[in-house]
Amino acid sequence: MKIKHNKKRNTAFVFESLLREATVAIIKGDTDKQHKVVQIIKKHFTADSELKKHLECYRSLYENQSLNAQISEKILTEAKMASRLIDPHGLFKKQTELINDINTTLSPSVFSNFVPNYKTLATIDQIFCDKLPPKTRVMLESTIVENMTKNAPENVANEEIDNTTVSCFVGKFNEKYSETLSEEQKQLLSHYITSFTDNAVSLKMFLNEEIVRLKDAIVESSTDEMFAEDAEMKQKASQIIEKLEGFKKAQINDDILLTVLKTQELVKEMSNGSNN
Amino acid sequence: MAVIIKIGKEANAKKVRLEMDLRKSVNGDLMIFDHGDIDIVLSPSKNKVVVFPKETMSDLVYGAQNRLFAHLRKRGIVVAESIQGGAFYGSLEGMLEESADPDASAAKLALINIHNFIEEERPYFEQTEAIVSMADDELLHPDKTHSTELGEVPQEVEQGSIRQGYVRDPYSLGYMYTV
Repeated sequence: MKIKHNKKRNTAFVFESLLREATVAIIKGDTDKQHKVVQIIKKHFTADSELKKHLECYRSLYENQSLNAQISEKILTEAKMASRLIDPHGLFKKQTELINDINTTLSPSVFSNFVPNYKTLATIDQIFCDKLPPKTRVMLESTIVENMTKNAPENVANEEIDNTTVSCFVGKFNEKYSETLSEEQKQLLSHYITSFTDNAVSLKMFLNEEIVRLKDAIVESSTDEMFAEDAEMKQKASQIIEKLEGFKKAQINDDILLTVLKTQELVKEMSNGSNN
Repeated sequence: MAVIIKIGKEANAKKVRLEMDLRKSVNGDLMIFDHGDIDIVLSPSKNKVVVFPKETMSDLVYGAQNRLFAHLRKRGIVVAESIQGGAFYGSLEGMLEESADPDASAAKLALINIHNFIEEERPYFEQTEAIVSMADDELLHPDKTHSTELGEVPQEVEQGSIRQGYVRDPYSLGYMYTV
């Protein structure tokens, strides 16, 4: 029997996602977001909160501890016991509040953050859940014990990547995206990737020309009959033009690049549509 | 001794040698990085000059952009009415004039004039860089008059700006306001 795992109700997963969100905000220098994430963690994971207790149950199982099997099994039994002692209704309520806070204060995309030990967290969540059949439960528990008894992996220095690997990677990348990306999108990505070499001047130059081209293409397309008949479409087109105009006042960032990539795709579709 | 005799149009051609920190992009644009506040792109294929701020946009950067285009406009290199803000953040661009002489390339003339402009401005932006660097240096490596020797500060009966028992010391005045 396969039980559906709800990651939003997985306390450890949500905590790890929030930590990753905070790390990204710190690296990007987004102090406002960083502050918001820290506030949410401080608010919901206080020492005596249900969520903190639940998190500790997870933590005692998922961190690599290099323990022997007997102690690991004891910890597992205690963690299960501690998890059962938590009031399920209170925990559910607190989890709902936390999810609501994340959705309103940050963004639902927090739940899409990549958490490397997601599988282990999901397994622990299923162990804590009472709906599992005994056989599956025992199998999952043995997996967790196995993980706990493993020795911590030694840090292996990154191996140098040779030219064959790079050319193989480039070949695969080109094979995968050569048909999905347009020529302009490839140029934009190429300028973006190499932008560190020249203070991003070639990227800026490319965008300076490309934004004008996109604006002209949309203005030209909006004079078509199709646009004249559909007021909503015309309004959307003018919103895109307004957004492109707004790039004069904004520093270059990933959002701008994504918008330009999407607009390039739109212009391509519009031109294909008019040709057909 | 062998004597080299040059004949034809090229015989009297003068060589112009420019030393600049520039890079040619794949599409043939010349990116000039010499100036302290702005990056200049000369695009012979699009027949235009585009100027971007080096870091963030400021009055200082706009001043440099404005002076460059004034310099080029006065020398008839760019079309005056074509100077405008670009589509990208903080950029300013202008179209090059068409060259009437087929032997004189508008892009080459623009490059020489941009070089002259940078040489004119060099003392100013290098001075600014020097002042910034000096200010950093003063803080990081102060001279003897502005620093003390490293090590423990010896004990003194009276030390610092707060004198004990002095009638105007901050603690005595504090009592006046507690009543």
